[in-house]
Amino acid sequence: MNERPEKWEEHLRQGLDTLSDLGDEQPPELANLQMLVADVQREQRRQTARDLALFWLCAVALLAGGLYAVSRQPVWFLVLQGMVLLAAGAAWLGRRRRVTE
Amino acid sequence: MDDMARAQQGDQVALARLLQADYLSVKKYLITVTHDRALAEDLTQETMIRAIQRIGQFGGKSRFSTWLISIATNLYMDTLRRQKRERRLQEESAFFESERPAVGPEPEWLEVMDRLHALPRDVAMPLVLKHYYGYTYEEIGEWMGIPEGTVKSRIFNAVRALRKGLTEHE
Repeated sequence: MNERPEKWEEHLRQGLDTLSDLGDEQPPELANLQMLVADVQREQRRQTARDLALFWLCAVALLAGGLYAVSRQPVWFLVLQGMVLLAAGAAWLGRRRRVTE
Repeated sequence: MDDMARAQQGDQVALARLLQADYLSVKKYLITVTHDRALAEDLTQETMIRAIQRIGQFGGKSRFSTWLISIATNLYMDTLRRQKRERRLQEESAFFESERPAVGPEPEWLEVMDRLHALPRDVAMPLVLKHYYGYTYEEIGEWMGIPEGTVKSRIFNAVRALRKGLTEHE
């Protein structure tokens, strides 16, 4: 069953139709949109490469630091590992509590 | 293979064709929610860029145009939050100046549009999405990042505000 639209709905429709009337405006040319697609995708690939490079740089630095510590100062290395584990556990518990509240 | 499958496999022409087909409907939508043609144009461009970046995530559960509308809504919500445009928009008074007749009576719908324009944007937007475009409460809530109940109450308040002036006249 189709309900008859109320007056405000009719006016809303008329108003928004008028407001958004684009006349004979055409969408951008296909070639322009294709250029936009190419530019955005190129920038995206660059960004991904930058992020990956940063990730590997950090990973190598951390690994090298870890290897150095374990070979020279094994006790401090274990203490540091334990502290990181505890911090991660505390963060996880805190987050879980916030979600259940 | 259709344009969507081609676009998701990296075919730039196919993606450009998809964007071109829905460009104007996104722009029209953004004009109806922002009431600002310049802002709508900027957000349409941003929506196209975001769609290009995320085309791989389009799962085909909804129509492509609906997906674009959801991106546009998200971007507009971000704009409202970031720049606190809401206050600025409400201070603008020249809404629909070009549509107002210099002489003679104003069309009846102008009053409803003035009332719509006076509403906070995040209250007017769900009303437009529901009553002009016919999207569901669930979709609107998801796009705006608010619970379904909040969508319903905002629409209820917006309808009451629009209806008020008319019933007083009748």
